[in-house]
Amino acid sequence: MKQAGIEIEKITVRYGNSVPVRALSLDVKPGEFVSLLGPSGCGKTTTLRSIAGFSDIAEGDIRIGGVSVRDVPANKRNIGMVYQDYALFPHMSVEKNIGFGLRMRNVSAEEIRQRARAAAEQLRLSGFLDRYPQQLSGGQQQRVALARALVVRPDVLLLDEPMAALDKQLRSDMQFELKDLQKSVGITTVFVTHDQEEALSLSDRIAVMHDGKILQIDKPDTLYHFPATRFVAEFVGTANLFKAKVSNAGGRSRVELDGQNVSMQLDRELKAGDVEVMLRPEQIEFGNEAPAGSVPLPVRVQSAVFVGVATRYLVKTSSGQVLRVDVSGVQSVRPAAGEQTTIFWRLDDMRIYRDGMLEP
Amino acid sequence: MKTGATRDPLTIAATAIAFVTLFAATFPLFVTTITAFNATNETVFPPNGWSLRWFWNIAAQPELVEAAAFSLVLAVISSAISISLGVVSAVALTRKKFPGRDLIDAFLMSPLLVPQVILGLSFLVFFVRIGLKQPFLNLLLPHVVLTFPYALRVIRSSLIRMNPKLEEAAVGLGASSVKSFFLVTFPQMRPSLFVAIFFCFVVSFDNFTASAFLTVSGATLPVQIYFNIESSLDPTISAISALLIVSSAFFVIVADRVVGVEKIV
Repeated sequence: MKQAGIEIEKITVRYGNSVPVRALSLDVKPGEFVSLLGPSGCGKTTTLRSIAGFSDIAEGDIRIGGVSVRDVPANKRNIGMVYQDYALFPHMSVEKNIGFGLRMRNVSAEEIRQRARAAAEQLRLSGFLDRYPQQLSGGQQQRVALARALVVRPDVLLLDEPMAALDKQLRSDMQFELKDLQKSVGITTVFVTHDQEEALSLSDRIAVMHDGKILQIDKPDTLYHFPATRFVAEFVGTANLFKAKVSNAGGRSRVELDGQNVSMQLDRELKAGDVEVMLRPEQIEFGNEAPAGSVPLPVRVQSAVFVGVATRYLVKTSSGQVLRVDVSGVQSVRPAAGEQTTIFWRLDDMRIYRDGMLEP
Repeated sequence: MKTGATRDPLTIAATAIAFVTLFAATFPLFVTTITAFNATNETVFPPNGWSLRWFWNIAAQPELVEAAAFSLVLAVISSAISISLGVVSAVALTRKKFPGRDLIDAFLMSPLLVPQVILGLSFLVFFVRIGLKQPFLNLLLPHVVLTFPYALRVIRSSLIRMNPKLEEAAVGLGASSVKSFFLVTFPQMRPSLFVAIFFCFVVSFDNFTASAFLTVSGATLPVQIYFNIESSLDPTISAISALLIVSSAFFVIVADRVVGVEKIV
């Protein structure tokens, strides 16, 4: 399959007085899988719809395979799109649904039949060609929607929360299937979701959106471990945040958590002043003795919830701040609720934010 | 569950009222149908003997047959016009945004609210003023006005229930907006079109009040029936009424079986 990149250059979308997308730029490399992740109303679906040609862009430009599609109507863009509710044609059989795009491209009836069947086979739908969408399960409907989108050999594949309607088990199966399919077909894909786990597990890169803009675009692990802003830290994964103060002496910074008797010596120098310190729940450990280079903080365990792969804790510091701590199944120290204990973390795992932005 | 639900006094009362209403509404139809089988030339109930002669007598009264044919043609053509206009208007009202849309929507539905006497009289005054004296056109125009709101209402509600993403999906797959309409939207409107045809046909075929004002020569069937019972009251009128009642009931049942009237209205 030919691979086309998408270059979005400072696009702005306006509906009357609202501006759902503001001067947004994004480069998707050929064959790449990029997710647009954000809360509802952040502009992610509008961005997707402008790539498809369903939302007019007031400013900026979109290029697919290097060619501007600004003035190309939606039905000439050669794009495959999958909707949250799949939007299968209820009065057409599975085979007719899959073949629809080819029919619009004036492909011969015989070739439509062959290619629709091949696409159906690839998505394990061969036994369902004569069925109607309402006779299929949610997962099967989704595969029909994917087959219908891919059979036309589109330049790019756009997915608008296609997993949202599936139950949890099926969703996780479909995530693997979608990822495999996307890699084997090699198609450039933009995926819209508000589910961070889904974005983390599927994407080559994730763009976190808020208020019509992209806050950060990075590989999933970079995004998770080095969130560029406090908003990203809180939106992707769980963030424990402390208010803290930075003071400097001898070219090195000292960070003191407000209200806790904790003081940390950094090996680098930051600007003095008020900051916030962020820690992920799984980077905190329980223990009676602090390993070298780690920071101890006495806490009281409020509650413990066993969720299989981990035990999730809520612990309270002496100043009354509540923190989340995740202890994986293999860890030996697992205190009970009500217990007085100590938590530790490594300085390297700690992120510092000033005015919501990550400090180097 | 069944025993508990049926013993509930509210359910019993509601069921009783439903049956009384059904009876009150259908009893006159029932009586009319039965009187058509009278043996003598008196329209009495219960009949004082049985025969089918009044049904054969319909054919012997050419003005009734002509009126029936006239009404049939009028109903078919006015329904066809109303439904074509209804499809176009419903698409515009549900799929396009334009200023004054809600106002136009309300205006298009308004003939339902105007008393037919006034509608008939208005058209009469209008036709006299412009000097149009065409038996068929003088009735066709008001019949389109009368049937159009029914067509619009039924078709519009089917478009509102339809997922607009389907049309978008079709365009995304390369369809022009015209193709998207004919291949995706229209096929899904089909059940509502059957219902619209049925409503328009009945409203037109059945109309008396407005039509009575506008009958020049060549009456519609309801108007002709009215003329006939003014001069004589033999059971021929009952016989033709019985035919209309039975055929209407037949169409309602067929329409319900095919598309489910309750889903559309």
